[in-house]
Amino acid sequence: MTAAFSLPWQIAIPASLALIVVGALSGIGRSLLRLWSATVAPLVVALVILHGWLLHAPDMTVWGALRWSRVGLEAAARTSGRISLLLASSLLMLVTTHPSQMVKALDAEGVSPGLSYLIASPLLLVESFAEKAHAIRDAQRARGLAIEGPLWKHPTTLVAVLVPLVVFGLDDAHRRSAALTGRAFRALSRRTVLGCPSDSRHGPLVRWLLLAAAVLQGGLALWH
Amino acid sequence: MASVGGRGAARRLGPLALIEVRDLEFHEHGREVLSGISLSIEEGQRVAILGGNHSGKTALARWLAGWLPAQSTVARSGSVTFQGQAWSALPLAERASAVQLVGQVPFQQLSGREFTVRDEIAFGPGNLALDPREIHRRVEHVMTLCGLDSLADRDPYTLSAGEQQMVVIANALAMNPRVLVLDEPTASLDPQSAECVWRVLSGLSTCTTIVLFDVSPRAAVRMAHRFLFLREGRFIADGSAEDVLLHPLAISSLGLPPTAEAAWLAKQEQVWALGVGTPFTVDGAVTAFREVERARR
Repeated sequence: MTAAFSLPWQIAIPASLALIVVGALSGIGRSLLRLWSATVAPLVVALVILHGWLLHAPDMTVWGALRWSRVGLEAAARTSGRISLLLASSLLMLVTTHPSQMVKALDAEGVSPGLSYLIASPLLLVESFAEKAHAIRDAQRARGLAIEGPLWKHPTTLVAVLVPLVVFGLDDAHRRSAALTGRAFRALSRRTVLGCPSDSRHGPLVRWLLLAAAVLQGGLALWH
Repeated sequence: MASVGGRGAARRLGPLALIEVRDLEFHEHGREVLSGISLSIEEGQRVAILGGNHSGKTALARWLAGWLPAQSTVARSGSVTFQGQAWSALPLAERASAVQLVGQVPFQQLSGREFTVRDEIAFGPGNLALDPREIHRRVEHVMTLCGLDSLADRDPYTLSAGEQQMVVIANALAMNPRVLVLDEPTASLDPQSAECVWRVLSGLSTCTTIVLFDVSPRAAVRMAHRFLFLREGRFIADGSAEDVLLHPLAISSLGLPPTAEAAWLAKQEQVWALGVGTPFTVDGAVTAFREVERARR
């Protein structure tokens, strides 16, 4: 993140492409490229149109039927480079790292179990909550509530669906919390993890170097 | 022993009491939920606490399991102790190793943190920071016991309710608890899934003390030796199946298991033999009806 916000676009864009190459070398190039291009391409096109052609800038150059601004295009390249690098690095992690492996690695490093819970639980519980929302919606429809079309067009319906869902969420959180306590969650400061992913020989050194680079980049960005 | 009455009716104090409840009065949201509850559960006992809806079963199950209610719903009086120590005085890890509660809705008892059945079962022992080899041994043992070997790498959230409840039971057993409290564990399951759950529970080692809360005596008679009948937050009867399930209030609230009902009807028609007990299980019914037939010849 610090790299994306502190590096100039001339480095950020090649760096994001380099990450795609790293992904390809790891055997996940196709899925990474597909996800990256699907998210980055529409943003880049929109930014170039907005900054390069639509927004007024003092250096507008007329080029046939088109008018474009070098300053505007540089601004578009800067923003695109940041977003591209952020997405490429996030997607590389998303595609290569299963959340369970990350949670286990965090546990093994002695990170608070509560933090890894915050990472894992939304991924696991979102589908169940979506199912519950559908069930509530169907139940309200059966009672004659107008449900057709997007929910935001029916404020009354939205309330009729949201209130029971929030009540269910609170009840679920209460019960799950009791169940976790019953299984000694956070009873001790450390927990034993089975099947923890093994670290590479140079993994810890690379992580420390990345952290140092992030601090350095952040410092340089603030200094300038 | 069958005892009918109010305060202290179910008290059976002994030197080996694992869990002891003394004169527990519990109010929730301004409503009296439990009143004058006294109960002593000894090591290795299989106890069934039966009662209809709103009889206070879930509240009592939570008290027995040390799932202490929130500040606003504390007991008005009385105490619940585990081997003489109040639950609140026991560290969380000790409490979790002492007793496990299996509730009615399986989905709400999963950790919400683990991505496979194997990891879900290892979650509790992992929290106790046990040796990895011990956790592995426990996990493999309970997975085999509960028939979960083929589901070990599945996401617990994609399982059926019956399979999820089996995972919840495996979770509880992996903690190696001395007491297992079951609060209507098959309430949301179909008969086939429920049968699987009962088969596993009936096959547990006799070292595990089991307290089963249920609305129906049908499953309880297969595994319990001691029965209590709870009504409106009070114990009405305590004793053997014969003593408790044939109590008029219990019959009207819970109904009889089909085998006992058949014997009951046979008694009404004067075709039952003197000295033959009421059968509560299918095996008991086979034996009892043979005895009746032999006596009639």
